[in-house]
Amino acid sequence: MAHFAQMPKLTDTMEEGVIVKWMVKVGDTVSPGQQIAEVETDKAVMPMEAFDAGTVLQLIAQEGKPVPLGGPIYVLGAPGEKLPEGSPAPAATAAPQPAAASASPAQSAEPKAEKPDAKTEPPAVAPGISAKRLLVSPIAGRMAADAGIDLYTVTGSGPAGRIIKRDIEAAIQKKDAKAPAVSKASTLKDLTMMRKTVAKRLSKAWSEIPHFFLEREVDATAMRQLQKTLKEELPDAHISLNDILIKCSAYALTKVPDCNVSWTEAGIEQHEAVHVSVAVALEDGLITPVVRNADGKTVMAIAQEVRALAQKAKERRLQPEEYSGGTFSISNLGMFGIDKFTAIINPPEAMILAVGKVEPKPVVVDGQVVVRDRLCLTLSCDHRVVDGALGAKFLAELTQAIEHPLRMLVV
Amino acid sequence: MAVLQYREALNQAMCEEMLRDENVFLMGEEVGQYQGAYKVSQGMLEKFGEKRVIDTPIAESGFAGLGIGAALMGLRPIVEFMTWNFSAVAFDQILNNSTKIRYMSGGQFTLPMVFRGGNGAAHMLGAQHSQAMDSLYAHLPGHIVTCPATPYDAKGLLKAAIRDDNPVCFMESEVLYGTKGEVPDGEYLIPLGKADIKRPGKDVTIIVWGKALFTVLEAANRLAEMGIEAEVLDLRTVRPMDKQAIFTSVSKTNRAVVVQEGWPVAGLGAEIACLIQETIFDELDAPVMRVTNEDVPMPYNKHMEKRVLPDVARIVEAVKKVTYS
Repeated sequence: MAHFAQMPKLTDTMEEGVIVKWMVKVGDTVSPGQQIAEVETDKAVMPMEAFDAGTVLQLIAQEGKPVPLGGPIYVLGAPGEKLPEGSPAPAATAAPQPAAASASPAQSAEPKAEKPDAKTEPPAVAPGISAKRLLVSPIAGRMAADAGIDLYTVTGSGPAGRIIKRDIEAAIQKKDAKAPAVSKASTLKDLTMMRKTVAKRLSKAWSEIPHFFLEREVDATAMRQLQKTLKEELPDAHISLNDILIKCSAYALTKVPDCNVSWTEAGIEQHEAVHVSVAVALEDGLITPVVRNADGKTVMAIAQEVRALAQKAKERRLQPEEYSGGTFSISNLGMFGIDKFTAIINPPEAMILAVGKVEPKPVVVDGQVVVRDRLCLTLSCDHRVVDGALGAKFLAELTQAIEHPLRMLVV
Repeated sequence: MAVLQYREALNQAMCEEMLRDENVFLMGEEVGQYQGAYKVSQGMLEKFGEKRVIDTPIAESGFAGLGIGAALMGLRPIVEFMTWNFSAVAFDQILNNSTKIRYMSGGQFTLPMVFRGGNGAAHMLGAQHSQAMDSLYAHLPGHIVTCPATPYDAKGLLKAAIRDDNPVCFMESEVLYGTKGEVPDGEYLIPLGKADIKRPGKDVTIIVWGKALFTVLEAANRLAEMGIEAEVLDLRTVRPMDKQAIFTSVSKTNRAVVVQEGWPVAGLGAEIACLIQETIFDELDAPVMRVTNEDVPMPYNKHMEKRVLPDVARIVEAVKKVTYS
């Protein structure tokens, strides 16, 4: 069978040899012991003999080019035999090739799984002759493919560098170690009914209603004082600043009824009653229970009602008539530390008041710098039905009510 | 549960079946008056009489043929070969008659018979008396070949073999007759064609049948000390082979070593290795290795005989190869 003859070790220190001169050509028969070339070693130019008998099928090593020890230098076999796998393209300086010795294509670079046969020696391919051929056991190949590991990055620990199962297991461990211990992947949470509703309504409101925003910082000192007094005199009533604000807003709406409206295609709907929607934050969203006829209710009644409605809201027991029909909304994020913010209008209402936190600030009063409790209000208005001046008028009335609450008794 | 010798388990199986079915009878050399060449049929002549425990002349071809004829007529003979080496004299009867009659008669005749006897090497019996015949007979279509290693397997499989309507080659071992094991008290059968995991493991599957099981179990202990956990799969029946058990186990461990007491060329080890790589190539982490007898007639010399047979060292070497240890 055609086989490679390899560069022999002619001296004990030689690592490579150079064919100085070929003494045979392709097609010659050789017998063992016959000198077939002159080889330059590290020590001297020495004769090289054939070890086997046969016909020279191909001369691989070129004259003058070094070949490492063990490297293939020529092919010996029977005349006309096919060249063994791994034979390179014929050397340019070789004698004319017989037609049968068509060069086998260079080894492909694709990884090939080695067939499980009894022999475990590597195939007779010399170093440097062909592109790297991977030896991979079937299960290792499969595991690597499943884990997305490039076999060229794995060092095989099996015979002849075969990549085996434990090599892939090690590579996978290494890969996992590099990756963060906790994968910060996003997860998908199902949409609750509330979330869907909020999303739908507010998207619609934001896209359809032309919003504009009016800011006004008011003096909350009187309101604070009022709340303190009420707390001392009616401790069980638990009246909050927000309850007072609801009352003030309802009052202001009666003073500026043109703001108590809704836009419709058919015309501007003027509401006769004042129903204030109060934004209540829930765990997974928000809802606005309505205090009906807030203008006619006392602050204590408003406080009670808001508390009851908020509780019901948290227990998901609000009935539709309890959270619809509002004509104006108020949303308070002061308890969350917000200075001021802009809120989105609750259709079909025309306005929403965003309330920040009460904070002592230095202000100028009668030419003097004094510290007062201040509160920032932001009024969102539907420009289709409320213009700037109208909105400002409402805010002016509201400010009056907040800064001089006793006025609400009289006017 | 009782602890019985392998020979006692066989004795019980035959006696129970002969009591159960009057068509079952035993014949062979020395089975009657001598109480059995290896005392397997001890007490049976006395129990069942001359018509059902029959001493034959030294004429294997003759009494094998006689058994086949009896089976053709509806009896259920148990034909004992003193050892399976001597079945060679009756080979024509088995090759051309017992394995072929059912097929060639278009199913008109079944041959509900059992050929049984000791198989393989014992101690210094020489070349002609140490042959493992299981691979040879497993090569032939038309019958069942089973090789139990333990008393438990022996009794259950012999009863199943006697009740089976096909000819069964039942291969024992002179070396196993005296070994002891637990055998349940009540009636039980073991299905022919089903393997048994004698020792579970995860690193390599060692496939074996017959008396080599014990060498393999010893090797498994040695391997466990090295940190290699071997799964020992006892095929019990080699024709038909429990292929699914083989594939399941090797798919789990990714490595297989077949230990076969017998010659390597075209032996059952080769068949099993081929089946594995044909069917579950992608599960393999290494080529399938075989550990078999050396490819020589069995030497008479004690040490050479040991050297020829698969031993713990060679099994451990093979496992180390497939586990790259």
